[in-house]
Amino acid sequence: MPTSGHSTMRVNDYDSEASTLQFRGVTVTAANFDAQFAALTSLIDAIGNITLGLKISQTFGNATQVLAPSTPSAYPAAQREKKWLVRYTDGVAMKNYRMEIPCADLSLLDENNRAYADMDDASIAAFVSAFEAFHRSEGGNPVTVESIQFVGRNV
Amino acid sequence: MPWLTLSNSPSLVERTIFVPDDDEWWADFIGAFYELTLPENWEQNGTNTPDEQAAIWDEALEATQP
Repeated sequence: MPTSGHSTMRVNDYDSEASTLQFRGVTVTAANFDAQFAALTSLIDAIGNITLGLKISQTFGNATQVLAPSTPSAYPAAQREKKWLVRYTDGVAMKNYRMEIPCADLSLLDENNRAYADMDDASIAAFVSAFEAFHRSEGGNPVTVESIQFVGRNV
Repeated sequence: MPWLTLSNSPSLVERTIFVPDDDEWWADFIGAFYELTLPENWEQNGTNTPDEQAAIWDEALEATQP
């Protein structure tokens, strides 16, 4: 039976403050289940390499996997107020979107443009590739990442 | 407390601001600016909808460089 491609990832910062990331994949069916789960796994792994937060749970369709809900990140610099602001576009509908990734790993800032992540870095490039492979716009179209900016939020 | 939407859609203008000279301070400034780009932070008062008002600020944020 088809189910939503909506998936989430939850991470803790150094103070065990949690944040939830949400992804919109294509509708999951028996035919694409394995491929979509692999794509989501790649995306979550890639996010793990650009955030200092600790993954504590994830959902895929209607399945939830809880790992360690009260365990903090091991990195003092892992603070959910430090975000990667990911800007992406739906090239079909010509609409702009954003998502936030908490606990930005600031070692990935671009030395030549320090307000943004280094898009040539292998970890950032892997995230972009995995995000574009899995995530879809509200209209269900593929998306393209335009930039990843470091922002401080008062969450 | 939301801001109130206005009734015009001005073009962007470049102005000079002064901020602390540090990446993380700049990120906090951008984070504060970012609040203006969120429709939920606007209440309709003028003819602009919250989405329209936020979209204009989003253009300004995208154009803002350190």
